[in-house]
Amino acid sequence: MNSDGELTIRLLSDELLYEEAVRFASGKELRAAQVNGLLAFSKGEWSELEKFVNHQASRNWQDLRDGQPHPTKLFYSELKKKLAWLKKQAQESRLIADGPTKQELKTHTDAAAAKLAQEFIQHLAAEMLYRTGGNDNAHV
Amino acid sequence: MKREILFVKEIAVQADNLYPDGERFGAWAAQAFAVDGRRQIKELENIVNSSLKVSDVLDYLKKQTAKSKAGEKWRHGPEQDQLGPALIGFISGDLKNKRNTVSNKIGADTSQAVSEAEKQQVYLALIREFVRQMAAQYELKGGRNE
Repeated sequence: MNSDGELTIRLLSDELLYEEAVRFASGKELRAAQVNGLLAFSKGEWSELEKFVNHQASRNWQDLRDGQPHPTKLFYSELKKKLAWLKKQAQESRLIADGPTKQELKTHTDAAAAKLAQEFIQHLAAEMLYRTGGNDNAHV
Repeated sequence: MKREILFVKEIAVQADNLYPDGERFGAWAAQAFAVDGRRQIKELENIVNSSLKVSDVLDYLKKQTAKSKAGEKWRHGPEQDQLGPALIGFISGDLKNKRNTVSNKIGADTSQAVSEAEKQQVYLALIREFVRQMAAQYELKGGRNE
């Protein structure tokens, strides 16, 4: 990514992704260990992050609470939608140079989306820990 | 006058008004950190001076607050008014307003809108100036005795 791309990411991070992450965290719950796991995946490739989030969202989480879906399942189901939104942001924010082939375009899109996801999840993790005081199993 | 010089001048004008808040937060930090305070303040200064994004500073303060025990360090103060959250609120609210004041003035004076990148630079410059003042006040209010 060129320096214009890096600047665009920094601006999106401050002006859009930070506020989105704060909003996203509101009313959600995730164990500190899960927050750290998510952070680790956010630093890797887009496909691995997507696979991880999809897996967590489709897992059969035990411990139903009052007949409601497990909060961790809800968290990842919402995050799955957010990843789709981040990919759309990557496509719309001129971060991607037109590649000569369809495959190259996909590679560029995934790389840009991964950068945005890393920023979003970093803000989300800080907000989740902040709201729970770093306590495990705390409601946010 | 060159655009860059106008920014420097307007940031300096706003920074002058930060003194009472720098004093307040510096004194608060001196109370909050019975031990390890100088390292905490130095680390904050380092983060602020090296960050390219405002959100990095806010994330850092959130993580430090999360690590602190109730009533201590970044969570010093009553439940509804603690150091870390107050500082986060000050940066997100007051300093953002000052960023807008500087940006609007330069935009009006030069008849050229201030870009998002310029606004981000103004915001970071105000945070750096504020934390510099806070750190100086921390030393003055007792941090030097550590």
